[in-house]
This record gives sequence, C-alpha cells and structure tokens, in this order.
Amino acid sequence: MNHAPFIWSAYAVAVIVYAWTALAPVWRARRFRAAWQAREKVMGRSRGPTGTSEN
Amino acid sequence: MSRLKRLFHQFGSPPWFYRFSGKLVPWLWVAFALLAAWGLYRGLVVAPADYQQGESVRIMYIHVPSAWMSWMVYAVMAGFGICALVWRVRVAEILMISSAPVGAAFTLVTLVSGSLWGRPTWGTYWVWDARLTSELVLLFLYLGVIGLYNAFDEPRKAARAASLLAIVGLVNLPIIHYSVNWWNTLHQPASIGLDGSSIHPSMLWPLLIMAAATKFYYGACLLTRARNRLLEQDRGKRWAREALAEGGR
Amino acid sequence: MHPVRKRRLIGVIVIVVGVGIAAAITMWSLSQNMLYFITPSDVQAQELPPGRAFRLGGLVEDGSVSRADDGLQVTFTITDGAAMVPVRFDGILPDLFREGQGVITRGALGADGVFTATEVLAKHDENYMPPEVAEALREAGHPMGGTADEGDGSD
Repeated sequence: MNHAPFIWSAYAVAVIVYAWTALAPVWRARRFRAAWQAREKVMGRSRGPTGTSEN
Repeated sequence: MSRLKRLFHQFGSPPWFYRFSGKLVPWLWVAFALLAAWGLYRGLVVAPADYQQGESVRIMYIHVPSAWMSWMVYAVMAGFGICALVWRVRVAEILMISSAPVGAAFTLVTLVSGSLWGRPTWGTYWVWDARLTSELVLLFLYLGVIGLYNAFDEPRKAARAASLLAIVGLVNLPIIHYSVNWWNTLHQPASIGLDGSSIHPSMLWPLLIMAAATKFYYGACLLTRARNRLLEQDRGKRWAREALAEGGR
Repeated sequence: MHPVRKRRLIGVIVIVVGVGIAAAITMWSLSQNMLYFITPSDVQAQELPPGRAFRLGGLVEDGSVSRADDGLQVTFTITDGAAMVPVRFDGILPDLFREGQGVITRGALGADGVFTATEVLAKHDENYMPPEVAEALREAGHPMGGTADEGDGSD
C-alpha cells in the first residue's frame, strides 16, 4: 500500500485545523475593533470629542 | 511571599495582563515558527522510514505531539478552572475558557491523524478500543465546556459552571493515559516514559522538537484569545477604551 | 488562606476525589467489557460456545502461515505463549501482518475448534527504528530485530 496519501492528508488536516484555530481570533479582534471605532465615530459626532458612552 | 503575591495580583489585573501578553505573543509565534520548521524538516526529510511501518511512521510527528498537547491543555484548563472557582480571578476564568477551543483543535488533529495512521498500519481507520474511545470522550469534554459556557448570558457565572465541568472531566486524563496498560487495546503502549524511550534517536528528536513547537503554538493562541475576550468584556472600561483607540496592539 | 476560599478549595477537592472514586469503581466493574480482545488462554479457560462472535488477539506463530493455492484463504495460528488457536481467514491482510507480529482478529470458533475470522487487524509495538538499526540488532542476535523482513505479509 502506498502511504503517501495518508501522510499528506494527515498533515493537510493538521495545517487547516491549526491555521483556523490561530487565525479566527485575529479576524475576530479586527472585526471587533473596526466595529468599535465606527461606533465611536458616530457617538463622537453626537456627543462631542470627549464622549464617554456607558456600554 | 509578598513578591509572589504581588505577581499573582499583577497577573490577575486585566490591563496589566493585556499589555504584558501583547508583548509576549509575537515572540511565541517566532519561537513556534522556527521550531516547527526545524521539526518538520527533521521529521519529513531527514528522519528515516520505520523498519516495520515504512514511511507512514512520519504521521507520528504530528499525531503524538498533538496527543500530548490535547492532554496537557486539558490539565492546564482544569488548573485555571480551579483558580477561577476558588479565588474567583477573572483572568483565570478567561484563560480557562480560552484554552478549550485550542485543546479541542489538538484533540481533533490527534483523532484524524491517528485514524489516517491506523489505516495503513493496523488495517482500519477506527476501532472502539479503550484508548481511541477515551480520546474521543476528551473531544466531547472540550466541546461540553465550550457549550456550557455559551449557554450562560453572564460571563462570570458561565466561567464558573464551565470550570466545574472541566474539573470533573479531569478524571478522563488518567484513563486515557493508562488505557493502553490497563486493558487490551489495539493501540500500542507508550513509547516514551520515565524509564526512557523505545524510539530511535533519529526519530525521537523531530518528535521532541515538534512537541516543543506545539507548546509555543498553544501559548500564542491562548493569549490571543484571552486578550480578545478581556477587551470585549471590558469594552466600557477606561483601559480597554484606550487600548481600542490606540488601534495597534 | 481566607476561610471562604478554603471552603471552596475543599469543595473542589471533594468533587475531584468523589468523581475519581466513582470512575474507578465503574472502570473496575466494567473491566471485562473494556477489553478489546481476549487471548488464546482466555479462550481455553472460558469454553466459549461455538458460533459466538468475539475478538481474539495474540502473536502469529512463527512458521504457521499458509496460503491456499487457489484463493485468498490464509490459515495461521495465534499464540500468547501459553495456548494457541488455529485461525482461518478469507480476505486481504493488513501490511503489517507477518509471522511473529501481534494481530487482533474478529470472528467465531467453529465446531472443529478453528477460529474463522472476518477481520484481521495488525497490532504494532512501541518500538520505532530505521531498517538498518533493526538489521544490525538482528545480526547481533537481539530479539527486537527478529521480525524485520521475515515473510512479506502484504498481498
């Protein structure tokens, strides 16, 4: 039996799972920061530059 | 004692933890990248084929370090769970729940790579022997901890409930580890123990390098996830607003 | 330590110990069912009724493997050092199947005392080494190098 397909698929699965586990929180942090800054801009316009929202 | 106590309190302070871990994460990634590149080169290129299994032994360099990490991360997660339950340290709660997805990823890779290793060597992808079954239970424990945490609206209550489940699940770790000695299993007994190793040095070294690499990977992933959670939970507080306004890390 | 924290810590310890004891008792009472296979000695001791399916594990006896001239049928003997059981199998053997190697078979005993297997899995041991090292060990008369290339089990 040729072992190469088993070896490559094992490593491929590992790379996909580990890359996703590592990158998902980075993307999440970016989205969160962007949303926060966008909202802060809107809040800033309505309340002035020192707006401190309670959320 | 007082110094140790101060360090403990410092770690427990979200702004300090956020700043400190932010500096640490890039270095953990660098260490992981270097070790993983070295370990994969030694394992996939330099290391010889096995006298019985042939080339398929190369799956070991991803399967065994992942399996070790799946157990270690669980023990660490339960340790944070104890800190969270007894001392009610919020950073410990966050480190506990941030460990769960990383540990689940290690367990998933262990199961899949083991299955792909079993087909060419044993002649089957899966059997319900004690080792394979208890490792599958470990995956469900991780998923249970994540699920229980998400079932609560209040993060501190959620963390306490999930910590309790994590601690109860600790009992599975000795079962996984000793399953190959206590019962007849298809899975072979451990190759590396306190009394040495039955793996030839040319194959042992890449294995140990990969084992070190995965520890840095866990550290980097854990801190990244913990920082996210802290920032999201504290988004109304001053330190978090400052960190968010900075834009960088 | 603060008394409240001490109480919580004791609570955690009680839970861990309690769950541990419960698990140990469960494992102990289920230990027969947790066995993935039984050995030829167990077969001899238990007098299993013919036709009942179970898994039999052990080493393939040296020199016992013989193939039928016409088809895939293989016969060999499984031993655990104390007892042995003859096995008949009609199918494709795993790569690691060879004499002296551990195997796990599933099937049932016939009235003639021959175990008819429907599945044969190869067990491998915890030793890993390059072929040259195994060769050197075998030349030095070390038992570990023994099965390196005796009889190619793959079809």
